[in-house]
Amino acid sequence: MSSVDLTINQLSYSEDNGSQTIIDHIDLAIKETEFICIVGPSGCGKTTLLNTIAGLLNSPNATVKFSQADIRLGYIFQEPRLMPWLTLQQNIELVLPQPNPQLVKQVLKEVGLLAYTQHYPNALSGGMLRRASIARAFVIQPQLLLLDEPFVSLDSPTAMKCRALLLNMAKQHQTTIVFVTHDVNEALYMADRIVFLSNSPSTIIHELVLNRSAQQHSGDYESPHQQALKSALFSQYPKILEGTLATS
Amino acid sequence: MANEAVNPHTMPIAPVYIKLGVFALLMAVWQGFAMLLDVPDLPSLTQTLQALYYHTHEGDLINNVLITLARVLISFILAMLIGSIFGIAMGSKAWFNNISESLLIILLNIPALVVIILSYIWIGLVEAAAILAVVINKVPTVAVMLREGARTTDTKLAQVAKVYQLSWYRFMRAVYLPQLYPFFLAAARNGLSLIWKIVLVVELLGRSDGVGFALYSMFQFFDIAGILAYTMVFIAVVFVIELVCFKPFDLRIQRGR
Repeated sequence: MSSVDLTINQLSYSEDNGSQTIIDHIDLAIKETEFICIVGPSGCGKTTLLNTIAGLLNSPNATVKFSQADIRLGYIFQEPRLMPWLTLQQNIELVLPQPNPQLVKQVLKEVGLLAYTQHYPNALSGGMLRRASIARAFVIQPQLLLLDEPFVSLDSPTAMKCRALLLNMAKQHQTTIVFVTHDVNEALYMADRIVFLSNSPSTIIHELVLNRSAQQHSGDYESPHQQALKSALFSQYPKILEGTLATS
Repeated sequence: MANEAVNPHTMPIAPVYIKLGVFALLMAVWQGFAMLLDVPDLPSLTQTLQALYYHTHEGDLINNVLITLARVLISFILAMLIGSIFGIAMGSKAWFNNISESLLIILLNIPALVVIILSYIWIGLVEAAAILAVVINKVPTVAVMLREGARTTDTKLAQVAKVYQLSWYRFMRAVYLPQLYPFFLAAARNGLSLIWKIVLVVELLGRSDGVGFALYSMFQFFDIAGILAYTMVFIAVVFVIELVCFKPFDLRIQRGR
């Protein structure tokens, strides 16, 4: 399975007939299999950026180019957005062009939900729903996966489990990932590269490349490695981080 | 994580004996009152059952009920189909709602009797006029319910369908229409009860068969036991429809909600 490059040029987005600019001329190039985190304060337009990449919103003058013509795109939203009237298995099958029960079971096994195939979403916990939405995204073997603060409302241990699961699946499936968050810790933990956005109208104010292969995912934000990254970041870019965190 | 899930197959057991008890109590009260008052205007339960036996074996009860049922069924299907299409279109397209709203208000408020009489005058005392009159009476209420349903559909689920490139058919079957099922059911239940009543009026005014016509004939002869016998059958049919059609559909759409 091949991953894809993504190039965004001159992406702007306005509301209220152009009177309110949400995103102001963003240029961004994402390499295949890269895990990029977009960090910015609440309301700065991170979701708008993802929705534009996904084609849910139109940005007339922008160009969003993929390295291949027809790509398989996955999107994990802030809420799991499963169909309440479908069982877990049916929810996963829904996004497949052809029924493939074996593949569905394999993905559900990967996320640890194989025992719950016939359960409806209202019978699953928050963490299970997030894992289900991860399964739904990965069942199509996406070349590009967009994630919009997917673990924001989870308790800390469950969120950490979900992050580990996502990293593991992204590595296995060799997927290019664009992950939006307002949590710098989360971005430091997961990303190859972090892109910092300003307040609305948002634009890129800084990019930070991390060496993910050297990262040790101990499952803990307080690990020495994570702390060292954070300290270095704060010492080098205090204004950016203060600005981002203060408005988060 | 195994303890996090709830068994989805756990359903409350319906207290059938309570329902049967209430029904039996109602029948006993009827019988008691009828015996106590002992007037010809209130036949007892046993007299009504005798009339039911008579009209079933000697009269045209089954034939009349079947004819009325056929009219109800045809009118119901047409009204649900047309009303649903109009309602969904109005709920999902603002421009269509704007141009249709006045017509909808007019149709909602024209008395059923006016529509029935005009249908018979303009089209004639034929089956088509009877069906048309019922459909015109019912379409607006179905449209109103489905319009409200279409307005409440979740655009976030539609976004999921768009991102994952679901076909139109799959989107309708698995994402859009399930959100409208409760509204379909409400419109169907409400519609059936209304259509039953309108069909009887239509039959009374312009047909020579059916339950409405039979009730009118019995009214001429003050056959109150016969009227109550027909009403019993009428109610029984409604219960059968509820149990066979609506209840299973209701249980089905409640799954996961």
